[in-house]
Amino acid sequence: MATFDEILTIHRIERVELTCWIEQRWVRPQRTAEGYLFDPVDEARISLIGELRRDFACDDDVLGLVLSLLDQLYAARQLLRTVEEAVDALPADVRASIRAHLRSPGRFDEGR
Amino acid sequence: MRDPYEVLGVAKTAEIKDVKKAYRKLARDLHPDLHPGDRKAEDRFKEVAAAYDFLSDADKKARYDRGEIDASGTPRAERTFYRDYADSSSGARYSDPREYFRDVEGMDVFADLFGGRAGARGAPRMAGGDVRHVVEIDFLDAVNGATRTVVMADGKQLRVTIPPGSGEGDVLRLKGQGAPGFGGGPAGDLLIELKVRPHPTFTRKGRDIHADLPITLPEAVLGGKVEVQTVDGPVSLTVPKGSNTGSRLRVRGKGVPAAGGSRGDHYVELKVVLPPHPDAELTRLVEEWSEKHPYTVRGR
Repeated sequence: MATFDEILTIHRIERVELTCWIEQRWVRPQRTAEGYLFDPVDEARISLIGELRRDFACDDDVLGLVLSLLDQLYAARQLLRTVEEAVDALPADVRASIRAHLRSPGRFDEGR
Repeated sequence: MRDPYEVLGVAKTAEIKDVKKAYRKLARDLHPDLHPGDRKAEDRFKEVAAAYDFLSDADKKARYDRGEIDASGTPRAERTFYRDYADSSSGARYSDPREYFRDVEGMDVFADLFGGRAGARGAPRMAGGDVRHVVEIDFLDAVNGATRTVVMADGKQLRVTIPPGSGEGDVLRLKGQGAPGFGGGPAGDLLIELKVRPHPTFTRKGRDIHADLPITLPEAVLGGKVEVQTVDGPVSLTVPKGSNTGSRLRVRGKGVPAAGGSRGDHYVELKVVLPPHPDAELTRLVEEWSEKHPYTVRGR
């Protein structure tokens, strides 16, 4: 768990920048009476933001878009896992029918 | 290669000019030409030079500090990326399907799935974090116990009972009053750390209370009954005849309460105080008396 000031030092970002990122909910640390506490997931997110800015030359508008798309992507993956769990609990013949539907020609065609 | 900061003996927060200074000093001390025949000196000198080389490259230093590369410049094997967290329950804070897929067009099956807490299968369940709060209270409230209203970050007010006998640094844990949980998980706890304001006259030592007790000259010489303030109200104390400054008297059971209901003791240290204004009559009396009754109080 890292504090606000530790993050500023380790990741070489300005106080104003990190505050902005938190306000825009790009990073969502825990709030406590003594200030913010950053989990490993929050730090990984901050690393990612740093790399997008440096190596991918993302400006702030693009960054917001990229993060939003990323979050939607992971939410969709979570959704798929939930659906898979539900399907796993179905009778075998129903599962087979779902699988057949996914494999049917034209569903995910290559080279169309 | 060893941690370059360790090799040069500088902190990770050191400025580049301090790093340079540290390197120069070590380079001077370890120069092989100053240690002919010492093979280890050459190795150490090379190590110091390599460490300085590494840290004076701003890009390498930054990437090392962020944990992306190790001291030899290769990307760290244990380096984690956002995706390592995003797919697990830790990523739920950022990628909650409920936030994005509540009303998915043409997918009625999802509309109910994320409706309420009970049906949230697959939505990650996580306990909320603990929240720490510091509360300052008066000395007497800490000793005798009190209730306090604490205002949380979200504006909610909570009445907290401070048990009798509480002291500086005690932490009270209120279950379930911390940060809310995710996906139906339990809320964290509220931890209240006590800071006790000092009292103008009482000092606490464990289960006992100590205070100074000023007494008048007649009370010291002749003795008498004196009213003494304790944390448990006023008490009448008998000051023995001929009491001196520094004498300690004990009042039992008027100190800090313990769990079983008993209390520690109250101790007073006597301080003899002369009358505030110069008194001609007193001066004459003492002059006469001291001629007939000399006594020493300081060593020969």
